[in-house]
Amino acid sequence: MLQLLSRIGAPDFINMTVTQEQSVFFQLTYPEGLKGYVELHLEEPDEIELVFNLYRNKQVVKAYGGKVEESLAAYLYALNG
Amino acid sequence: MADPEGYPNRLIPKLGYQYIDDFSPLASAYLQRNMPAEFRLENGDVDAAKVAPQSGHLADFSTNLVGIFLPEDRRFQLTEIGSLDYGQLWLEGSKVDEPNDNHFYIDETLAALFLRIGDVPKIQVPYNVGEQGGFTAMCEVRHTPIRGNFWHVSLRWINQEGDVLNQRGGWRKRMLTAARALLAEVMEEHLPVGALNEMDASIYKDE
Repeated sequence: MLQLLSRIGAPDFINMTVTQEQSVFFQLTYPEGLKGYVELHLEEPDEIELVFNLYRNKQVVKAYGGKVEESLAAYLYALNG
Repeated sequence: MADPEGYPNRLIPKLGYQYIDDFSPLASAYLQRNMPAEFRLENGDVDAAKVAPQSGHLADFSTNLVGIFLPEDRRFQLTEIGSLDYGQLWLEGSKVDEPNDNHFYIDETLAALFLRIGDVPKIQVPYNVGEQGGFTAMCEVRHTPIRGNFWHVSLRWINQEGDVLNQRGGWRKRMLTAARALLAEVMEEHLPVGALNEMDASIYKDE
């Protein structure tokens, strides 16, 4: 996931944290003040899910959570405006 | 390490204190969230993962009402033994004895982030349920005094079903991920000059 996120949208910065709750939290910054907060939820028995929140100037641009492929597609779409 | 001054008496609930139900007179006051010393990422942004290490902490987000509680009071942390008593919710009208050295320790490393109470109603986190988007949870301030700290205040998230703390569902983790991101965006590192105004006693005293 880290490699994948580092390839889409050309982030300036990416940070990854393994949380205490079977999830991995990514924080990304992009040109023009876009910030991405992405969490990969791996809690069993739930289905693996990817949640993202995209911000610009402290305002949410797009938020979505769902299956990994769907969520990544929505994230890419949101990054491209 | 115990503090030679002892635990700050100003934090202890007193007889005659009452729950703060209405925060509207405190719109210009600030809430303080304790943070680990290193809460910034290499690029200078707040590390959202450190705003709340566990999602349960996000659903009932602990802060302190700054005013009589001074920013530096965050140094006073309850020990495991101290938490058994002083970490419990304070019941209005109950008397609390001062903690002794076994009940607390000093943590000089803690940093803090701040949030203006008047800005809390503007905080709404978006999330989707299944494929349906457009859901929001609004942030609310709740006074949740504990026996060791009358100024303990929680941020809660309220959706159309009520308090998210009492709800379950696959959407909940999406909402809490959104809350973590939003808090990292809106919380401030510095308390503005003049933010430590004297608090009107009628807000917290039964007079």
